[in-house]
Amino acid sequence: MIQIKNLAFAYGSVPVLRNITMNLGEGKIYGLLGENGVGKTTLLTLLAGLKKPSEGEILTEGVAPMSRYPSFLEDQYFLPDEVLPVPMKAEKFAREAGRFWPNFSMDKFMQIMSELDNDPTMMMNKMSSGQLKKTYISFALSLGVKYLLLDEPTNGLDIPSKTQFRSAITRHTREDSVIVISTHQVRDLENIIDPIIILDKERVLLNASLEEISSKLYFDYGTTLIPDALYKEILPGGFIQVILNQTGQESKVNIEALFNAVHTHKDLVSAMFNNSNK
Amino acid sequence: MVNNIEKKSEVFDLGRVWRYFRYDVVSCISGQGLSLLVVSVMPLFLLFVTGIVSVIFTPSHSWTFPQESLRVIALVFSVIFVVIQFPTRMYGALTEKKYGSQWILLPASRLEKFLSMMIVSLVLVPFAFMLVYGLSDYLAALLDPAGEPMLFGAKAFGEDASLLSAGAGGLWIGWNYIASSIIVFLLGAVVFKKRKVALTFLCFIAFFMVVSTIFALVAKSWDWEQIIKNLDIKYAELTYSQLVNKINAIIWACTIIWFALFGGLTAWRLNKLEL
Repeated sequence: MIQIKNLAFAYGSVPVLRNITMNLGEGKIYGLLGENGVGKTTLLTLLAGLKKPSEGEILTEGVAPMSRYPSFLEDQYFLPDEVLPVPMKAEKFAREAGRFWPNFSMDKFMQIMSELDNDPTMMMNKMSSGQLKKTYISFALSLGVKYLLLDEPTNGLDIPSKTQFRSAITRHTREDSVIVISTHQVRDLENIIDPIIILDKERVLLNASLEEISSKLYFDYGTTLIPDALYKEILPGGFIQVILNQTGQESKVNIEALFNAVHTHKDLVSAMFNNSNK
Repeated sequence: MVNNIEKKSEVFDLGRVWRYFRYDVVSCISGQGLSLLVVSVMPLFLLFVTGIVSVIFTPSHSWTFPQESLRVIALVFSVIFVVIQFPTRMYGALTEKKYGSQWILLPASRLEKFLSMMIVSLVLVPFAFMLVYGLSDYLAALLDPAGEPMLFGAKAFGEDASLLSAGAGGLWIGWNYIASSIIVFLLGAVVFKKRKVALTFLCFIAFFMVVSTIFALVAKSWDWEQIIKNLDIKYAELTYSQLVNKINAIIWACTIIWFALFGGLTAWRLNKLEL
């Protein structure tokens, strides 16, 4: 489990995160959403131990990430948005770097590379950005780590690769994993992320499972406009509308609509889900 | 919480040290191996370029071998390249997000990463460079009927003793010069985000200006005539070899202080690295 208590971070005098408190439990794939510049990447880098919090603390199984203990690093992997094109063949890179992670499997790396239709004998500094991303995704998923932090993993992937990524992440990660995926491309990951965390400037607007969201918000896919809808959008053949769920009916959560509804009614949603106490 | 026994293995583990060191060497060879090799075979390159140019452009169209002054210049430029470029190209990217993140999050302790960096930069690269350069210089001299090796042989820089034939001292002099310069540019590479070489030079110059100014102010009041007389009296009875040993001891002491200072600053900077 990752415990975040009263976390704050600022770049110089510019605050980015303030009073963030939440727990990230095992066996879940968290979707970390938010507008540009709200601190998604910053939060991931804090969780990874690349930055030190200005205030508050982060504990991953009782260890502060900034300690950078090898035993902590051996059980986590951070995949940044922009990855490094090392001057090595992909399979050689995996073989050399994978030695540091006790649960790394070269067979799994080669299998995932094959699933993502990526050539492991290619030089990484000669790959396109999409091929390079797929190499690092394959590497990340073959490490067998418990804590996986992915920053915009589907950026640069073609459509078939996004499908394969969704399949790979559910099949090749541990059942007790804590996976945090920061993304703008919610449609790429809609069916795998649960719970959803929505960040706003310096606060968490929402941190809830899909079940909890659908118990409090109803997603209507009909053709009749609802006056009290928190958010509405025209779709081919009708609308997607988000309303308060007063009848307890179940509905399929549309994450994009959810995001827009949350941002249109920040205080209402924040109070509804009572995020500051999680 | 990590207890004291576990904490020791978090700081230093032999298996992990070897694993990381091997990874660092492989990365060094992949990234910098070719450029280091090209620089190290400069004597052969110089031999062929000089020969080809002389065949094409001289009236006699005959093969000419490079003069000693040219070989010395080539050596100086090669050493400067190794000393300045290698640390910046190998470890300068640590201050950038992409490479730095990967480096920081590789499961090895800060001490292990630092030790590997020191061994690669201050031992492997200087000795590998001197060995390959010396061998290519020796080979070039073999091909030149009038030439003699500068490094592995009886003549170097106009003196009677070369780096090696002076015994181990010659080799250590070469290593000392190269390694003590590399460590300065290594520190600059991990401290500065941009203009690493230029800022390192400027800081180095500023540092020595400050030190020499302070020394000048302090030493102004010293009685230099008496100091020299005292030294004369103290060391008058020493044999040549005893005097050389004393000077070597002073040089080695200064070398250790130099490496401790710059190595310590590098370790401190790596410890504080945030991206």
